[in-house]
Amino acid sequence: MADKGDEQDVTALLEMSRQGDMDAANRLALRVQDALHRIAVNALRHEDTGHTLRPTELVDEAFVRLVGQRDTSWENRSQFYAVAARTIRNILVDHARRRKAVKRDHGIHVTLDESISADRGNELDLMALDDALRQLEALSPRQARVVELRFFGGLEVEATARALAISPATVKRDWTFARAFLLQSLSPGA
Amino acid sequence: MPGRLPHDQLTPARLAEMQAAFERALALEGTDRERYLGHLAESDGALASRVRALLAAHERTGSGFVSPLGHRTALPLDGTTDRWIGARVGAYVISRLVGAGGMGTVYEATRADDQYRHRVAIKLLGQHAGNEATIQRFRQERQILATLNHPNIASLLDGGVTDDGQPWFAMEYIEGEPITRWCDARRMPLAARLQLFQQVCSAVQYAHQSLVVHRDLKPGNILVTAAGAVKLLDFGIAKLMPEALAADPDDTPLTRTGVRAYTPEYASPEQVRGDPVGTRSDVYALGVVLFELLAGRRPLELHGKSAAEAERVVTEVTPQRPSAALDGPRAAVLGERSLARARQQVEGDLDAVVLMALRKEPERRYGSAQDLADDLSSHAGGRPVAARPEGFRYRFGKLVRRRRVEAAALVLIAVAIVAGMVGVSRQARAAERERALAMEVTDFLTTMLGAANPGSFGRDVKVREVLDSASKRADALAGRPGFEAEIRQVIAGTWLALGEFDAAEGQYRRALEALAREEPGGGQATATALSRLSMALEFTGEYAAADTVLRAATAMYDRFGYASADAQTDHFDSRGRIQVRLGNMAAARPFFERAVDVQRRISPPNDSSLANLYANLGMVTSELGRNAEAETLLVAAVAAARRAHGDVHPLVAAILSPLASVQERAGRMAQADTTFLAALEMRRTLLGEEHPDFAWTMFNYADHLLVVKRYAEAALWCRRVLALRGRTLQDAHPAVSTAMSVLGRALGQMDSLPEGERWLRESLAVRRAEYPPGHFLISSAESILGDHLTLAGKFQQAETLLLTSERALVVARGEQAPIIQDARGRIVRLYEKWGKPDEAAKWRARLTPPDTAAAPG
Repeated sequence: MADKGDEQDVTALLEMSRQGDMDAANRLALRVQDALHRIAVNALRHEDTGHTLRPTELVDEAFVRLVGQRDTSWENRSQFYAVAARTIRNILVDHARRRKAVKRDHGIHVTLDESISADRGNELDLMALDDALRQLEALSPRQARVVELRFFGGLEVEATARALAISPATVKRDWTFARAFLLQSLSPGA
Repeated sequence: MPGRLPHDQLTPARLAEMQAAFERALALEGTDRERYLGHLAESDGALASRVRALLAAHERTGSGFVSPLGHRTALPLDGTTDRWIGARVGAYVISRLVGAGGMGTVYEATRADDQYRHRVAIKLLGQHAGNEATIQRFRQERQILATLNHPNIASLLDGGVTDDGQPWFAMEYIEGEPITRWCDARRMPLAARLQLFQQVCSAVQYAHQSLVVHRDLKPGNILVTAAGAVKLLDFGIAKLMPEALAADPDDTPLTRTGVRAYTPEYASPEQVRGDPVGTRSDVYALGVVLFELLAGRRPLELHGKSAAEAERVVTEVTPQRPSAALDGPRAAVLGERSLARARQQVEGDLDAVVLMALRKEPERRYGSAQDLADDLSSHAGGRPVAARPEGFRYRFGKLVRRRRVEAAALVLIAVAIVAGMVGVSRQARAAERERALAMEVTDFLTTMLGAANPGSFGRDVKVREVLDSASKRADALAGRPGFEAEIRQVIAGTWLALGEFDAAEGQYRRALEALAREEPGGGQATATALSRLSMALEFTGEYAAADTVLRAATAMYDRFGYASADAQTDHFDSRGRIQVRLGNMAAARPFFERAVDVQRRISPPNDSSLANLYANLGMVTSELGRNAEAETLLVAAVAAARRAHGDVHPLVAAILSPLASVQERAGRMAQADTTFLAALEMRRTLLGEEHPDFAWTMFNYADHLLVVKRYAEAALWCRRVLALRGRTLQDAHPAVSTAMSVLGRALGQMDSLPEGERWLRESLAVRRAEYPPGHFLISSAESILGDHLTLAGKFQQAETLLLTSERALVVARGEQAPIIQDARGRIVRLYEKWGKPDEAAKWRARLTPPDTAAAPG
């Protein structure tokens, strides 16, 4: 069942999923997941050398692996980032859920800010974040996409703007607001 | 930190208000922000509370909202993210995710109770579980798989519903690579690629006959296992054809599917347009795959194109010829030394076949996957393909090449053809790898022959010297096992033609050793060499060994397919012959019939092959007691042999002999005698007097002379046969014991009873030594000896032998075999001579009248 396909297959899937073909999107997601898995395994092998991947690198490398370095339409590249970001989100959340099932109430915690370390007790519950993101998605799909691309996909403002075909200013505004919205939803008082 | 948030309903509009207020507040500092929020609280208290909460949250985020992925431990991509991993589904435990099918997710799993850890692939709907249409399609895939049972299609093993209500099914786990990658990684030569592709066609044809259209054929769904077997996967978007199609699955298109789930690069024009899709859409996809196997890329460039543009390209742009798409690096991947050589092989036939499969209009493509495969067989067999008009030059070139390949086993003929090849069109030289090899081989041997004694062919002993020296030269070819194997097989074939069977066997075995290096896992070339080795074993009378070798060849052909219809025919023919030699006439017949079927489908017919097959089928039919039918077949065989080779040819001679036997059985003795003499004369001229085949004809004639009571002549011919015993004829050769038998009987009729009995006992001893217990030839020898003992008045000994052998013969050959009549006739004779008329009458009643249809007219 090694349905690894090849570069153009992924391009085709990108085009089809861009046109709303859910089946293609799902297949693509699995391809991306497979690629990410390989990249992560590779990265772990290089752990000793201190090499760790930043999210953008991760997605870019997955892109190169699956699509190649040849020119492709920006639409396809954007679609790829969107799928990759969504995939990473699913991976993380599923993992959190699984860990929770195994370890009872120990959701994976991720720091919100590099400057705020875990010992300051400021960690993000990914499952809760996922729920909040779903809520946001229902209210403003665009903002949810922005969060997904920037937070899970690691895209910069410019890239996010191009991926969503909106202005960088809008991305910045959405990002700022959505971030506050999500965090506020996660607050103990919310 | 603000208090509890208001309970107002959040809507998209409300969120927009919140964002506007939040941004406005954020833009303000200190007291300005407080003043704004105060105003807001007066008009909309709930909104103000929310904005305050958002601002507080914003403060906590700091400048960044850093992705979790900055930390290497944060992304748990170790395959443990899936809740199904480790879960039990039916009798299986899921071990890992392997990919996505048309719909749903595929996992690797093992049977929980399986001590051998048998792997299966389990397909689940996964996150699509809630979608009714998806469930429908999932069920359909399961249903489709359940109807398909073919060695080249991943089969359904099990199915059910999980504890939480998800449908699932288990399939054969296929560990393989996409066919294109598999071939390229191994630098598979063209012919091997085409053979693999024919397996694909066979699977697709089977699906079509099962009323299933795959609709998503592409390399990713056509895997090749490490063992080299093709497996078709992913019937996820396959469609069951309406039952109305049962009458003619090829011509009635499918209804519109609505679901545009396919891979554009492999989708036919009708599929891209959203028009009805049918079996010919799969033929198109096969065409794309074939193009890719040859050229290393796809016929149409769709990369980076929008859907609309891709649709235009697929429906309007005519693809280039695959040969034109080849380049230098690709030629190397095809195992060719130069681009020119690679082009030569693809140009012409293969270009035409691929482009016919890729035609825009479904009705102008091949009607079925089988037609496509058949055309590739024609190409492989050197016959004209249907995909192009048959101009004279084209046919001519084809036939010349074809003869050359056929002739590869006979140096003399091959040399003649090579000489005639000079000046033949370029098309004739654009040969496949095998043909190029055959050419190289004949060149090699031509040179050898020329060096030994120019112009001296025929029965000249020099040919043997040449073969010996060629064999020594072949020792130096160890670095090119494929070539070495070919050379040795040509040498072996020549030894075979010269009747030097042990030398032939030796060369075939060395060819197989070379092939073991060339094709470590076996393959078509190995299967063919095995099949040829069986002939050497057959001619030395080692039937059981030949049968074993042939079964091994069959197993290998089953795995790798036949190189051509001719290879398939030859193989069935060999299997049938060995069954005959082993005395299993009824088992032999189906093999010959299958071989005839394969040959009859070929156009133009290969008369040489048909002649051979008709003859063998005729002989078996005769042995089964259907004399009239047998004669018809043998007459047809002689006619075909003459069409193929003219009046004087070893094949014509070989068929004349059994024809004469059938004529004799029909009671037309004069005609039979003429036929025998013609066969003898032809064989003497062609083969020389020491050739086992000539000996066999001599024996046949002697047997005939015995029947027509010309005992002295019969004895004379038998002694000639036996003069070769220990020289070109070994005891295992059936001619030895049968000639002894005929000689003994002839002597018995000439009142030389003691000498006759000695020969008959010797014949029985040879047969007991050479054949397995219970073999009909042993019983036959017993029966004949019994008859002789009747003549000698040794009735009791005779009775024991005659009755025992009659029972054994009925068991071995069945009531209808002519040999049973002979055996019973002898029993009647015994009792008459012995003075037991009641016993005689009882046995006479068990004689059936002869085949009336074959009675003399």
